[in-house]
Amino acid sequence: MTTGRLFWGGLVFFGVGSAWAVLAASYPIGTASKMGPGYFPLVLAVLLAVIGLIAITQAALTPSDAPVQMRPFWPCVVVSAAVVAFGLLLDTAGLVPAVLGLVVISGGQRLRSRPLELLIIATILATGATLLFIRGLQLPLAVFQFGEQ
Amino acid sequence: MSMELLQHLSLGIQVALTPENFLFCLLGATLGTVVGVLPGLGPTTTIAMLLPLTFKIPATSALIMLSGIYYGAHHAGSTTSIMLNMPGEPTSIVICLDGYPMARQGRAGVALCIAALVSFFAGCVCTVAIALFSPPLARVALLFGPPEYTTMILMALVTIVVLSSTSLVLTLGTAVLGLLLGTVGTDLNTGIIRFSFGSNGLVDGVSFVSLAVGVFAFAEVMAHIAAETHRPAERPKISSLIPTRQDLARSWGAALRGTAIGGVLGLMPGTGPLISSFASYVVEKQIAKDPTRFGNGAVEGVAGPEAANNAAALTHFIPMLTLGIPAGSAMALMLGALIIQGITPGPQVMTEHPDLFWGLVVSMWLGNTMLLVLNLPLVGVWVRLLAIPYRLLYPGILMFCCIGVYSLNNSTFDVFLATGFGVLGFGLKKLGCAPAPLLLGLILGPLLEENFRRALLLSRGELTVFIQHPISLGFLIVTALLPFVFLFTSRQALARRSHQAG
Repeated sequence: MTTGRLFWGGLVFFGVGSAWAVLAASYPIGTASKMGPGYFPLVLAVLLAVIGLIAITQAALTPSDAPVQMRPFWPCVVVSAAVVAFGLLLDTAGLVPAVLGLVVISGGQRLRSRPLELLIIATILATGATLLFIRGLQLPLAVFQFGEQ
Repeated sequence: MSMELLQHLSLGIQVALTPENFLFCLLGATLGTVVGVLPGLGPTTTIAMLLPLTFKIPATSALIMLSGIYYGAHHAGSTTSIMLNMPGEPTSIVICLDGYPMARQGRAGVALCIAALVSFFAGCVCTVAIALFSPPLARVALLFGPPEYTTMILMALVTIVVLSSTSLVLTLGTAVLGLLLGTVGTDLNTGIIRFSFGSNGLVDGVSFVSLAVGVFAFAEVMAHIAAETHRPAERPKISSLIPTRQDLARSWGAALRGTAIGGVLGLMPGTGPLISSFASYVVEKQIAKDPTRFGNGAVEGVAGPEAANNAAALTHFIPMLTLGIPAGSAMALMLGALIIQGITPGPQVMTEHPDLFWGLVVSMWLGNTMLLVLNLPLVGVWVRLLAIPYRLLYPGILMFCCIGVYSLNNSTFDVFLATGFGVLGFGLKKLGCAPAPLLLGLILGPLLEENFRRALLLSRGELTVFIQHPISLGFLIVTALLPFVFLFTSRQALARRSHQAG
């Protein structure tokens, strides 16, 4: 038994499928000729769980399940954090702070080695975004704002 | 050529030649060229990134520009394969095999010229093919009822799973997960809101733009920032662009065969352009009198796959335009764009929106001509774009994505949702799963559910309805046979054979 891609993928699919099936069952199911809102999702969720089980079985039968290489994991954290910060700042502080936050966090690993470069990118993007999206495309965004509106 | 077709084409010319549409076509083709040259920024990512912004312009112009990005990228991907042995797009991997050796022999200019010419040739042929074959196909599709649509969607999904998978079972799971995500939101038959967890952002369903930006753009950035790619500093000189008589004699047969292979394979859902360039390479190598020339700068090894690649990129549009079934992730995004613009995709698009369909067809021909003019004289500029390090590009990519996702519904919820999908895409990559089935599942899910429900309503719950209708039965048989057929033509099998043959 190896715990590689098939095993972990199968486990995730089985988990998601089972949970979704339970959720789907809480909606009216109906019959095949007159399906309720829960029918189709229930069928799919059960199918996903079965696919998960098949993958786990395959993993158990094959001697060489390709290992899951999660490292390096930091890009996932850095990009997610940068985008979430953008979303939060956009609602509370405006477009320019949001772009600055996005650039600084996503380039965080270079904050020491190339601070000037980051500053230049942030300035160009913040200016460009203001001109293109607010002046040009007239998106309903504030350049700067204080607090949620 | 019938009178009707001429009328349609003249309508198309009128639409495509309006100043705005001409400019959007040029913009799309230029953007596509840039994207095609830059590794780490593909057409799907770019379309996902710019899609929300196109909702401010009319549907026809939007589609013309997005299409330009798509075929422009396929056109230009070969440039860096030839000059630097680095495919700008995954679909241009095959061009490296003989294009780069040609460049090292001082024949980079010839390889680029042949690539541009055969691309243009394939572009012209396939634009005509779209114009000729789409109307009859749409007429057939108008006869399809719910059972046919159900099994056709099933066939499309299984095809894309089989074609894009390293692991059949995991990719199938990805597609089913996509279908499940498609069930989120208001159930159209009963008005009941499903799986929204009380969030207003999910009442209208999972935004496909959030999903596409997450699993394509964000996951792509995550994969690239860890590995700062090393780029070769020197590049081959371009001495002469003019192919010799022998080059032309060898190329035109390959271009014809490549166009035919690509034109047919492009119709199938899945990674049509990539598979067809591999297939064309294998064919050229097997029919060559002296196969040992391949891998050492055989001009057919550039001409065939490049024609196939571009032919497939264009015929890839046919199922989306005539049936409303996207053949790949970029097509799924364009289909989504149509839906948001208020156009119901399907065979009726051609009759209800002839200006859109025929304008697009003519713009494709126009765009291919622009690309011929853009690519060759400016090749030095495109290659120099490669000197831009990725670390300068990705903050801009992220910013465009974020603002794009936000602007669709003016909601930061969609931005957070996209973050979640970015993490999911990161995980899928680690499992070796392609993200395309997830997106196709999400887009086709509601359509599948609607037709499945209607089919069983009409048959009073009898599942046999799907085998009683002959066309539907045919689709089911093909679906069942697909895994066997593609054991031989899968990406891995083709890669193996193109290596073995040399």
